[in-house]
Amino acid sequence: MGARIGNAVRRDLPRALRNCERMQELELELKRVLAVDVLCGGGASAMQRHMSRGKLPVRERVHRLLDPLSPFLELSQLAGYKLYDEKPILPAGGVVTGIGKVHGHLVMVVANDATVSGGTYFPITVKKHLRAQHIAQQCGLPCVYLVDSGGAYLPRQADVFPDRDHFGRIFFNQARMSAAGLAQIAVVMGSCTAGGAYVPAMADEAIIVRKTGSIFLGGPPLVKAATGEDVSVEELGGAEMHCSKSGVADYLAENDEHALQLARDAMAQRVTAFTTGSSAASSSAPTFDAPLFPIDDLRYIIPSDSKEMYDVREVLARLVDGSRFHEFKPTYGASLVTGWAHVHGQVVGILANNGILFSESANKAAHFIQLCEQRAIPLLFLHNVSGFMVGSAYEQGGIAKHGAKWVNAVSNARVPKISLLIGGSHGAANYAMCGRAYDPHFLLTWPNAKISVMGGTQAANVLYTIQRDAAAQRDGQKKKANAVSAERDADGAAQELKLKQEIESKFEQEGSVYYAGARLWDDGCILPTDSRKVLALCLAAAAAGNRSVAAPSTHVRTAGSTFGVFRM
Amino acid sequence: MVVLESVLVANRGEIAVRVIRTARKLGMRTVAVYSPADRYAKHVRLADESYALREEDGRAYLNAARILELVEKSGARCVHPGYGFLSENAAFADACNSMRSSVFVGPPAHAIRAMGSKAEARRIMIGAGVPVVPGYEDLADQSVERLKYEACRNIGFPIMIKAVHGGGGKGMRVVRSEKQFEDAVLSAKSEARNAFGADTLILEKYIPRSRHIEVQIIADQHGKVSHLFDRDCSLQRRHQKVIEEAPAPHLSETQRNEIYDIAENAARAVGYQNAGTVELIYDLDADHGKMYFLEMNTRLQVEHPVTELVTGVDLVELQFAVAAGAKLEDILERPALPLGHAMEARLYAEDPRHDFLPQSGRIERLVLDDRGEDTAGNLSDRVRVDCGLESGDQVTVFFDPMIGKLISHGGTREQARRKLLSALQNSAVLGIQTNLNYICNVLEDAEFIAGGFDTSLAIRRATEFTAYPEVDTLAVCILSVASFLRERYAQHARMPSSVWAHPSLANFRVNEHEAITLQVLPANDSDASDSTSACITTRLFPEDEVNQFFVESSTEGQDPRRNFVQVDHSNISDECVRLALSWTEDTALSERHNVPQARIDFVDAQDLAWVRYTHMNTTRSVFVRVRSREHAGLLKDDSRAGPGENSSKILTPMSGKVVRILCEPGAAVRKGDTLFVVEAMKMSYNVLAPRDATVLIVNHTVGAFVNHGSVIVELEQEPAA
Repeated sequence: MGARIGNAVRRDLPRALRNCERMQELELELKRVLAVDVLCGGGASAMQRHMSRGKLPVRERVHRLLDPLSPFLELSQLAGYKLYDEKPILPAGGVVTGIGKVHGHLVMVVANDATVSGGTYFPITVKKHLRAQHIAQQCGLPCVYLVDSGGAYLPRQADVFPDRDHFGRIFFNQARMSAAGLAQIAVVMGSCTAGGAYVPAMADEAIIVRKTGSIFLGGPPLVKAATGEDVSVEELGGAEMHCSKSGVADYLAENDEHALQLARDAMAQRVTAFTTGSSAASSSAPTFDAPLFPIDDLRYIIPSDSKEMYDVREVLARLVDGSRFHEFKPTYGASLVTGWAHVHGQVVGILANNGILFSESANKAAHFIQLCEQRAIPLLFLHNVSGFMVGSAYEQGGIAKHGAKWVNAVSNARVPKISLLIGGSHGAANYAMCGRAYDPHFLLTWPNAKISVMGGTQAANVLYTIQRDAAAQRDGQKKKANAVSAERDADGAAQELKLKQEIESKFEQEGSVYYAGARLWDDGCILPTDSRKVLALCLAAAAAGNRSVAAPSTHVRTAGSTFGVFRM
Repeated sequence: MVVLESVLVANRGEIAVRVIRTARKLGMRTVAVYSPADRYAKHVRLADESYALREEDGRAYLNAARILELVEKSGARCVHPGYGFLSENAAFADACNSMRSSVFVGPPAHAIRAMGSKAEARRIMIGAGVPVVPGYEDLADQSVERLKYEACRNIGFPIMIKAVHGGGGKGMRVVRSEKQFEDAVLSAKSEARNAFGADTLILEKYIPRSRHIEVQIIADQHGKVSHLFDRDCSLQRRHQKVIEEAPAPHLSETQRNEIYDIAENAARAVGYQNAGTVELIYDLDADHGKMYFLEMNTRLQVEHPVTELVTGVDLVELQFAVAAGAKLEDILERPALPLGHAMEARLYAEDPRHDFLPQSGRIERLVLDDRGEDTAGNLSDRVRVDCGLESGDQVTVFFDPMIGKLISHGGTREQARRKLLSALQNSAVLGIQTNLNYICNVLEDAEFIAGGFDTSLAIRRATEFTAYPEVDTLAVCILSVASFLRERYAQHARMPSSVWAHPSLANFRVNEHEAITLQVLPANDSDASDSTSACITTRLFPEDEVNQFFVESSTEGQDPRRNFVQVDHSNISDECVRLALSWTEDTALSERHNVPQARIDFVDAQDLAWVRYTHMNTTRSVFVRVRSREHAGLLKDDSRAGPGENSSKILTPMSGKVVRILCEPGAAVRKGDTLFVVEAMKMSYNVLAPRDATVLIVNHTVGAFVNHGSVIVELEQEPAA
C-alpha cells in the first residue's frame, strides 16, 4: 500500500553534519541525565541500604516480573526532574511505570522506588501513578503494583491528598478497573503504610514478602501515640499476620524473586480465566518490510535550527514499513501531510506537520480524521509546528472556524491516538495535533522538542511589543509632545535585546523536554532512533485491550461484574 | 531345513531392536516381549506383535516359563535370546528346542552348559590341549577356606575371582592380598547369585598386563566351524568393555592364525553350533606374548557389529540360517582378510567421576549422530547406531544402563577412530549423566591411538579420561547468543502476529541498553559443589542489527572478556540451535575468527545445554547448566542445603535395593567399615563409614528400594574439635 517515499541522505554535507552533531548532543544530554539522575534510583547509599534488606532494585523487580526478553515501554522517566526545591532530583518521580509482557500478555506495571525518599508520594508521583492507571484503562491492560512506599510525602500533603486527581483516585481507579475485568495485582515488597495500605487491600490478589513486606493504616509509633499499644511491625502488619490472620494479603512470598514469581503465576491464571483468545496479538499481518533507509538518518535530517524547514516525508520514510506511504490529498493544504502507512504491520493514519497551518490544512485534517474513525484506523500525530497562520486574510477566511472543526474531530475520535513531538508544538496547533488535553493514548517527545503556547522568539516579540506599547502609553500621557530622542533609541535597543533574551530563555527553558517531562506533560522523551520501535509498541498496546477499535468505549468490558473484587 | 517365518525376541533394549531389524529384513514376523516398565520401549514399537511379561524389573526377561508360554501363544517359529538374560541358559534352550514347532537361535544346550560353566570350560580346554590360565575350577569344594587355600598356596596373588556362570564383569573381582579375599568372595557370590542364579566361583591367576582378544566363530549343524576374525576389547572399566574394535591391532600373522586355531578347536571340542565368541587373554609380560583361552561366550556379543562391518556379514541373519539348518558353505562368504577396520563405543548412563555408578532417569534428548566424517574409499560414510532408546525414554534402575552403541568403519584404524570420535562429538544425551565425554577422551588418548594397549589403560588414565572440558568463554558466548535467538524465536513463534513478540523488539528498553544476563555452570559433574566456583556470567547486548551481538563474559575475580559476535547463519528450533558465526575479541586490531559450526541443544526442564562448536579444526563439546538472571533467585531457593553436606548422614550413592545392612543403631563403627550395600542394575555398591562414629539411626531395612540421595544411616555428630 502506498508509494515509496524518501530520499537517501547525503551525510557528508556540512548541514547534515551540523544537524547530526546537534542531535547527538541532545541525545547525549538525555542519556546523561537519565544515567546520572534517574536510572540508578535514589543514590548509592540508599541502594545499599535497600539491597542489604534483601530487596531488589526497582528496575530489577520489573525485569523479573516480565517475561524473558519482553520489551518494557517505560513511561515518563523524567518525572520530577528538578521539580521540587527540597528534592531537586526525584528520580523517575519515585515510581517506575510502564508496559511489559507477563505470560505473553501486556500489563501495566507500577513500581515504587523505595530508594527515592522511601518511595513516598510527591504530587508528581501521584500524577505518574494515575497516568499509568489511565493508560491501562484506555488500553485495557491489567495492572501489577509493586508496592514499596511510605505513603504520602507529608510536607506536600496538600498537593497529594485532597483533590480529585490526588491519592484517593488511585483506589478509585483500582476499583473501576477491577470491575471492568482488568486484573489488579499487588505485590507488597516493602512498607505499605496509611493510604498505601489500600493498594493491596483493593487489589484482586495480593502477595506479600516475608520480613520486608508490611501493611498497616498506622505504623507502630502512630499506634503508640493514639492508643498506647506497644506493638511490633510484624504483629501489626507483617506478612505472616496478613496472610494468616487479617486476610489483607493472599500469598506469602519468601523473598522478592519468589513474590514476583507468584505475581506471574497470578497473572497467568487470571489471563487464561478472563481473556482467552484476547491477547496482545493484533489482527495485523505477521510480517512487514523494514524502512528503506536507516533510522539514524534522522540525526542528519532534523535541522539543528528549529526554524529551518524540511520535508517531513523524510522522517516518515524512516518510520514506516517499507517506506511506503499512501498520501491523502497530497496537493491540498500541503503544510499538513496526511496519509496511511504501516508500522510493524499495523496500519496507522498519520498527520504530520510540514509548515505553518492554514484553513485548508485544518479542513483536510478534519476530513482525514473522520476517514480514520470510520475505518477504525489509529491516528499518529507528528508535531513540528509553530501554529496556525495569522493575519487579516486568514481571520477573514475563518481560520478559527476551520481549526475548530479539526479540534472537534480530534476530540471526538475514538480510535487510539498517539502524539510524537518531533519538533515544536505551539499554540492551537498543539491542540489540533492532539496535545495532552486531547487525551492521546501516548504522548512522546524527542529531545529537540519544544512545547509552549508560542515559540520563544515570537513570544519575546509579542511580549516586548505589549510592554513597549504599555510603556509608550504611560510615557505618552506624561510627555505627549516629545519625540523619541536618538539617545533613548540606543538605550531602548539594548533594553529590548535584554528583555527579549530573558523572555526567550524563559520560554526555552519552560518549553524544553526536561521541564515538560518533569511535570508529566508527556509520557516520555525517546531517542529519535528508537521511534519506530516505540511507535510499534504503543500502537500494539493501544489495540491490546481494545479489540474493536471502532467502539473503544468497550474498554470497560462486559466480562466480570459491575463491581470490583471485594476483599472479604 | 526348516522355514523360520517368525521369531520371538526374548530380550529388550538395543539388542532386541537389532534382532528385530534383521528379522524384518528377512521378512519374518517379529514378536516382542516386555516387562511393564518397558511398555513403550522401542523394541515393542518396532515389533509386529508384543506380549507383556509379569515382573517389573529384569526378572521379567529371566522368567523362562512365562516366555515359553508366549512362544506357544504367539506361534513363533524360533526364539532369539539376544545377549544376557536367558541367552546362556541351557535349560531354556532345551525347552525351546523341545517345543513342537520352535527352535532356539543359538548353540545346543550341552554346549551352553559346558561353556557356561567356567570350571567345565577350563577342564574341556585343558583336555583338548588348549592353553588356559593357571587357576582353580573344582566345583566340588567351594568353601571359602578351600578357595583361600588354593589362592594362597597354588595360584598366588593377584587373583581373579570369577562367577562360574558369569559374564560382562559381573561376579568378578580382582584380589591383591589375602586380607581382601574373603569379602571379595562373598560379594562376588552375592552378585553372581543375583545376576545368574548361581554363586559358584573359579579362581584364576590375575595377569596384570594383558590384552583382551577374542575370536568370532560361527558353526553350522553339520560340523563345520568357521572363524570370522578377531576383535580387541581391551578398553574396559570395572571389567566391562567400553570400546571394541576389529581386527585387533598389532598382532602378527602367526598370532592370528594361532588364535583362530584355538577358537575353532575350542568350538569343535564342545560340538558348538551357531554364533559364539572365544575370548583369549594375551599376556604382554610373557616372552613374545602368550595367548590363553579365557572362556567362550555362547551367544551373540554386544560388540558383534564390529565383526559385521569388517566382514560384510549379518551375524543375526547367519544365526537364523544356521538355526534353520543351512550349511555354512552355502551361506557364508567370508572375505580373505578383514575389510578395513571397525570400532565400537558403548554409551552408558553412568557417572565416570563416581566409579561409573549407573544412573537412572529420563533421557530428555538423545541425539546420536550417524553422519560421521567423510572418508575416502567405498566404505560406508555412515556410523552405525544400535540403540534401543529414544528421546523421552527412561533409563530405569531395573536394567542394564547401556543406552546404545555407535560403530564406525574406516579403511584404516585411524580413519575408523576419527569417524567414531566425530560422531560422538556430534551426539548429545541430555537429562542423564553418561560416559559420552569419557569415551571421547579415550578416543583422543595417545596410547589408545597407538593401539595394542593392555586392559589397565582405563585405570592408568582415569584422571585424563574422566576430565571434562573446561567451560570456556567462547562456548559461553555462543551459548548466550543461542539462548537469546532461541527465546526470541520461541516467543515470535508462539505469537507470530504479536508486535510485542517481534524479534526486533526483544528486550527493548526506553533509553537504555539492557543486557541479557546468563549464569553458566559446568554441568558434567553431578557433584554440584565442584561447579559453583567455575560459574561464568555473560551479559549479552543485542545490537540493532538483528544478528550482531556484543557479549561480555566474566568469571569471578577475572577481567571480563568481550566479544563481538556476528551470526552468519542460524537454524533455530525449540530444542536446538545451529549457528555459523564469526567473532572478534574486543581489541581494535583483532582479527575475525569463524566458528563454522555450532550446535546447542537445550533441555529447559533442567536448565541444561550442550554446546558443541568447531573452531580452528577442533571440536569442543561442553555440557553446562544455564541460569538466566530471571531464574537465578528461584534456583537459590530450591537448592537448600542437602543432607549430603552433613557427614553424619550417610546417603545411598545410587537408586537401588538395600541388600545388606552391616550396622545397627548404637553400634560403634570404624572408618572404612562397610555400613550397608546397595544393589542396582546387578551391581552392588558398598558404602563405607567416613570416620569412626556411633550409629544413631538406620532408616531402611534389607530389601527396601531407595532413591539416589536417600539417607540410609545416620551417625552421631562429630564432636567439635
